Amino acid sequence: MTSHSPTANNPILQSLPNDIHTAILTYASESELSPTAVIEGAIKHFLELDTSLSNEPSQVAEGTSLLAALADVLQSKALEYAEKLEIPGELVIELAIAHFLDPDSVTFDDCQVKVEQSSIAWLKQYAKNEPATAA
Amino acid sequence: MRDSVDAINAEALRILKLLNEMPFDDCCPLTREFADLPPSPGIYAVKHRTQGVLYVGKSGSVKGRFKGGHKALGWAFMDRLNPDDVRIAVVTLSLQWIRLSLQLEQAIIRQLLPPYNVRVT
Repeated sequence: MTSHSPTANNPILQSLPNDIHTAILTYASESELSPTAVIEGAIKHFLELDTSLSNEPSQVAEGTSLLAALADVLQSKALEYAEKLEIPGELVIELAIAHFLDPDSVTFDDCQVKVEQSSIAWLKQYAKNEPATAA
Repeated sequence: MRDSVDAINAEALRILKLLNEMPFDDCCPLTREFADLPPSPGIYAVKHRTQGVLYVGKSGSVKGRFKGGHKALGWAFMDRLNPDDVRIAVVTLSLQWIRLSLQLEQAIIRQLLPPYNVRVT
């Protein structure tokens, strides 16, 4: 099991609407991952990134953007995607989490939250491939 | 309020026209990886070479949506449609429309009534 930022310190998790927040916690519990790791997995899944990509905590932890809560490499990939689509960087986090919870949704506004066994299985596989995070 | 409804309907019609009129050969063929589909938010149509639009949907990542399997392709399989006669047309959504994707999708479905859409409103 790898270590992650405590749930209470994760501004992304704290910013989520109640139903989305609850679903992330359910996935975390079912997959034995931390909620932060579930969010990181969802973003990697959405951006089609290597699941073993480093989750080293950001060096810009004091930043005001929610992106600052992500590992540097995820921030960089999310910003690259945002730039390409000409959308705000923070929207990438919403798109990724919404897509993970409901692939027929685009944002939290139209996300019909489902907890799918196939997604739990994906997270369990992701947990096996996940890189160790520095303490 | 009326203005925003009119704007959504106008954009829905524009997308519908693009999806409908996209030449079949320019649409994305069915493959395992769907490498030609955009990994971005969009409205898509599953089209048949002669029967036209079979299904309309939306997703935050159209590529991701199909890579995970899609019921419309399952129905096409059960209807014995030749996979070479089924392709996917996509219109990506700009920032202005990303939060209105549901309204756009519903307006397009109401207009087209694609046979594989069971969520017609």
